[in-house]
Amino acid sequence: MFFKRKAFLILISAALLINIIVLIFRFYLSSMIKDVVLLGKLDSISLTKEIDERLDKINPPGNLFVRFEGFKSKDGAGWGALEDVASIMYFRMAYKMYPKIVFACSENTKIVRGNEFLDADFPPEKSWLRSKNISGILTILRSPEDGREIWYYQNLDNQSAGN
Amino acid sequence: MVFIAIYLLSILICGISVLSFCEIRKGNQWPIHKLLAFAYVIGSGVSAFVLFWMALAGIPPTALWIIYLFVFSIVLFALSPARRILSSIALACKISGQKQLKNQDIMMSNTDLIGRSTILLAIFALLLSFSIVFMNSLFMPLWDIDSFALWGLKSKAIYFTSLDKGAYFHRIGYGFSHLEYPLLAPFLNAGIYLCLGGCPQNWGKLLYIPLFLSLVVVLCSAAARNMDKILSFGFAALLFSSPAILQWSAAGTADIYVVAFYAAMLFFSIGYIENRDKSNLSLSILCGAFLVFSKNEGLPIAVINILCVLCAATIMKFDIRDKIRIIAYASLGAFILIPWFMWSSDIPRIHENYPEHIGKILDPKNLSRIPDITFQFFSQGKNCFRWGLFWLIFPVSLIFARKSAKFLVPLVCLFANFALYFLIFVISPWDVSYLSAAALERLLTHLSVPAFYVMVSSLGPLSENSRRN
Repeated sequence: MFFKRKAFLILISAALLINIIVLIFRFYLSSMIKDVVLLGKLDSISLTKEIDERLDKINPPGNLFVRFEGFKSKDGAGWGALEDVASIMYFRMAYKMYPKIVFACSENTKIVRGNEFLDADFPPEKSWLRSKNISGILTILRSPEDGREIWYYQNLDNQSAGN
Repeated sequence: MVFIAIYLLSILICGISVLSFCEIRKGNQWPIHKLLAFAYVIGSGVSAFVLFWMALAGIPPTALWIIYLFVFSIVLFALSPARRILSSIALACKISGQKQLKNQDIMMSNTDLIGRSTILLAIFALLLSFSIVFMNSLFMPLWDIDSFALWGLKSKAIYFTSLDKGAYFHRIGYGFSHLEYPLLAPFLNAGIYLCLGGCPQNWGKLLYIPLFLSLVVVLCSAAARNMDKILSFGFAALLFSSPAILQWSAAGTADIYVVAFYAAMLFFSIGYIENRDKSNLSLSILCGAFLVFSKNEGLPIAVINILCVLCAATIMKFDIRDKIRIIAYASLGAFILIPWFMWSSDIPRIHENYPEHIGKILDPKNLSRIPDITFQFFSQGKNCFRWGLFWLIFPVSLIFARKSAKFLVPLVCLFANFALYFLIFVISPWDVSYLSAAALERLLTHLSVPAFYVMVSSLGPLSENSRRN
């Protein structure tokens, strides 16, 4: 019994040591926390941070219609494809803007994976925009050459436009 | 801040009151850390239900919810035996505190070098884990996709528009957030938003910190039923310093609530099978109801657990009245959930309807996925960078299988649960690699609970000083 117990203690100690080493050196959450919280480097959360900041700047008084252009990859949707980037951006906008609603297509389109709106081909009419209390249209253009995203916001209340 | 203190206090009081109705009434004197840990886990479930009922009653979501919850917790406390036995609890705490100090002294002085280094490593690993959970909860925004696209959005929906179906729950454009998912975590997070009067991303995750601490104590107590304190502490530290567990402990999702209620449900289920007392059964069923209200996976987990208890009762030749009692209590648990089922029945379910797909299990296209799925499960389990040695030690523990409820109930739960998740992967229309990346680690997080119970119950009796608690 004594030796078995010792064996267990050695096994647990080894396992704990492995966990400690992984947590310190190989766990991306640890390095994220170090970067974001301790060093103030926001690279690892840049996508969500940028979306939050831009939406704070736009701050539409009503709901928002968002159009994604240049987010369809040649190989089709798949794990990690461009379509997924559009999905994540849409998810973040939906979260950030609530209780204001973000539309990317007709309200009758089911969005499950998050990129169904890319195939929806839904140019919104003025009457529809008014009926949904949409006060601005945000177009996110992705350059096929360098992958840069250009945000273009059109405020429907006073018809002004800006980048 | 005052509201947050009231909110946390209400959760604890609810938990202590419910525990006192059942467990403590028998005269069991739990040490203070165990009492608080179980009280917090159970109190979280009770509080979420109370907030849900307030929303159903049409009370608008304001800080009044927190006041009403506090009043409810005080009334519950006044009605419960906790009030009468408060002094004995205090005495028990004092005695157990003194005993623990003595025990710790004895433990450290009687322990050899290996034992001491295990304790020190476990303390260091847990401190490191806690600091990661603490920082991720309080200083990081909601960065994981599920945490903001599903749970964060739902929490904001509850905070701003309560149960208004038109505002969120019937909006199929937000179908990505699984509109029909249960609302325990969103209600608890919304409670924090109500305390603060806004939706800060980091403070919204505040409740995950005490939940993590409680969970460590709950599983440590479960292990201590089978083995001595050093080993049980070491095993708990082993699980709670796994990167995968830490990842989901403060991400802002509902998975850690599933883990917590699953751990508590198994704890009380095993207690019932061993001691045949009603209080353990009622607490087990209550935790099952909380599981169902936490996540869709909670329903099959709770049902499997109850069926396991029923099977164990049959095998161990329980009285017919005991079996009827299990069914009656399970029905009571389902009764608590009726308002949720009724309210959510018309929410559009636009994701995969898995029960419909079960008929297609023998489809050759689905069967051809099995080797790939098996590979994905195994490669996830043996990934030391995510799970350490946890899933590698588990098969070793199976070698020491034994005929006891402590071992068999979690083992059957584990295999039934694993079979269910495997089946879902087989019949799912999604690509296996996509499913693995999106969900596999979290499913293994749920499975780690029964695996932990199996591990400690099989290895415990082999160690020195094994004892029943």
